[in-house]
Amino acid sequence: MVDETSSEPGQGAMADLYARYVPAAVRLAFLLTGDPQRAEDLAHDAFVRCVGRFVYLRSQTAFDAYLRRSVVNLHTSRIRRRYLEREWLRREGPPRAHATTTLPDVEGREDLWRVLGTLPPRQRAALVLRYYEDLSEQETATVLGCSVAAVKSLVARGSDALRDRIAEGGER
Amino acid sequence: MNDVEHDLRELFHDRAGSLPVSALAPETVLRRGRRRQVSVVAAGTAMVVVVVAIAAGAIAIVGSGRTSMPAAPSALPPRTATIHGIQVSAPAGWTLIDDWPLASLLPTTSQTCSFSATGIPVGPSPAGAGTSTETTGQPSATCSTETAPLPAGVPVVQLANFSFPLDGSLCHVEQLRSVDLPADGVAVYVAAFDGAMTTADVLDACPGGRSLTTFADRSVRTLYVAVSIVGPDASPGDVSTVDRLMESLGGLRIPDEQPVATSPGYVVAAGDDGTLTWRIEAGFPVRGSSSGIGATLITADENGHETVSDPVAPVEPGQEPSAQTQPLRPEPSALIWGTSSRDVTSIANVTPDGITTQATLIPWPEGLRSTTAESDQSQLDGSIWFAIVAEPGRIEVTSAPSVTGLQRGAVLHAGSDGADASWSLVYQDEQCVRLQVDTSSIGGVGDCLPPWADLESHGGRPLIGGVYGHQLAVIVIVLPADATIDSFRTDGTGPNPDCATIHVESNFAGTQFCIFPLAVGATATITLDANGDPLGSPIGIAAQPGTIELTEGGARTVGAGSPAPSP
Repeated sequence: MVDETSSEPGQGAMADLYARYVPAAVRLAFLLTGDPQRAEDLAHDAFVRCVGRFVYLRSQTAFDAYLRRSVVNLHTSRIRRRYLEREWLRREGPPRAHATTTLPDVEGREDLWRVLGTLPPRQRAALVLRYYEDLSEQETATVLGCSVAAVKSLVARGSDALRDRIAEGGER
Repeated sequence: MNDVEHDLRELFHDRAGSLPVSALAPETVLRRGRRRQVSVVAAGTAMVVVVVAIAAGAIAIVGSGRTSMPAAPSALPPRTATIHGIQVSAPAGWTLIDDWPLASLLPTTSQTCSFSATGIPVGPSPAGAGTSTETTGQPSATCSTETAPLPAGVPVVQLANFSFPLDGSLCHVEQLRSVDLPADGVAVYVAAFDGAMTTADVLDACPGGRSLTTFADRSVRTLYVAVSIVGPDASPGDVSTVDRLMESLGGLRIPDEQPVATSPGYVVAAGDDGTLTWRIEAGFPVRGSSSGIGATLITADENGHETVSDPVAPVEPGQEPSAQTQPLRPEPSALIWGTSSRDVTSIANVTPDGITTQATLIPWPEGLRSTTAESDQSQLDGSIWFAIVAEPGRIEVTSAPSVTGLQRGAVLHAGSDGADASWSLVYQDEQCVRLQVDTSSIGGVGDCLPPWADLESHGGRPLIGGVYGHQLAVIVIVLPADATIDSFRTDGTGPNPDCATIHVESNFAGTQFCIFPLAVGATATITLDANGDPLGSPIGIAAQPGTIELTEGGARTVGAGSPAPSP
């Protein structure tokens, strides 16, 4: 077990911290990036950062919250965003036209997943935090480092963009 | 719940649930975590040191006797540098010079040729202004080549536990300045090993030479020799450092390609990220400037292929530090580096998620001064700085007060009686500092207090001023920095004088202010040493409502006092 009262996790405690929190962080990162490899890298980077700062965390029992915030921050940071965008373009090539708009069947989910990948990172992060992590608007605002109003706006614009782009795809 | 929200929730949980994730921590991640812990703790320690240094600096500005000018940057840090394939670990403070460019700068051979050819006149030129010639036979040339005397070979790397000029050589090389080996000095001299040389020649040319080893480039076309040099009083620790380097050089194979640096340089910082090695060199790489002083970053990939940055010149006082970024692995970590002026005391990188990394400030190597014109030497008062950061971010710069930085209104010193009264010395201009006093009921500002230099030119007697209220007076005495109060007696209840010497570079540098409160109706008697009052007369001060009266001694009051407003 992790001794969360200790000042700094040792090697064994670090492995425990990893087992307890990183799988969820990888899933979160996967929903943010859409790429399993990138997700793992992102979660590992965030974990390393949080472990490094463990002794300075104001609440060491809230490691998962710090890890979540670190994952999102890393994802939305400018440098990583550019890298991910380059990687995405390299992998995916230009967007393809899809004929199916019916939801929630499998093809529809594929479309939704694909369109989700075209959203700006903060919009996507807001949607993932609200609808996957089930965070409140206030908690989402804390993670994203913005106001509740900004979270509302990000979620609304993200949802609208998803609807519009799927509709556009269906008309093609 | 609307349709998109519902669909997203299902999509997210399906996708996330379908992702195979291991709960076993990869060893590499745990190692990175451990390294991160160490580096964060080190950075935290460094920050504490910086905070303490800043606090000490702040105290020194108004404190007793210690220098207050910008904290000197730390000396050269420990460096493990790969200099064109030669890995050298230099302890903190040691001199490490990359002399590879010398091979292309120093002539090791000279060639003399004579040419001959025959020609015949072919008639007037079209302009009729003379004749032209046309060669009729093959020109011949006779050349003779002489080897320049380089008994110890052209140095490529020099390491020493002492400072020496950039154009200096630890072994005898005619074109370079010979460096005397201190008794406790140790060094390693690495040079190209010319075929005409013998190992005995090399040892003879290196005073203190103790042992040597040889190695070659990868194609074994060029041989190199490394000589350990040890002074008679060298410490065992330093000797073992040299021995370790010598052992590591034996049998080394260095890259065949030419080094990229164009001028020799002091290696002031170095590191690697696992795939890329880097080093920052200080020397004279800047073309087109009078001094040529500058710093460059040289990186080498895993194959030893080197790349050199554009040189970065020193920064003038008052200017922002220059900053360059070299991406490192893992992304988005980076080396940020540059030069800063002498008034910069700390530089920090703050990442978007708030991680602060303090930069290391390194002084320009002392050895550069001996090869820099007098008029350009002030450029060497600044620093070269660098930091390894998790992610490039905002650069925060802290500067020490200076002549140009000392603004009107700057508080030079602040204190209190621990009860109701507090005071501060506020800089007005180069001729005026004012005492500002605050209590819970009243506040006031005194007349101008001059620098001690002005008082000294008018007889060198202390000046007494202050802010005088109807219940309390706060007295200030202007003294030279080396004056001390031999005795302080009062029939009141206030504390002893709060004395502060100003060290900020200004007219007030070397002026000491001693401040104490005195209740109205109370008296204080002060005896200064000879530095404070050559006449040695005790000074008696009696506080009266709205004024003070000097009851003994010869100190002047010259209008420095100012009645405080009535409560």
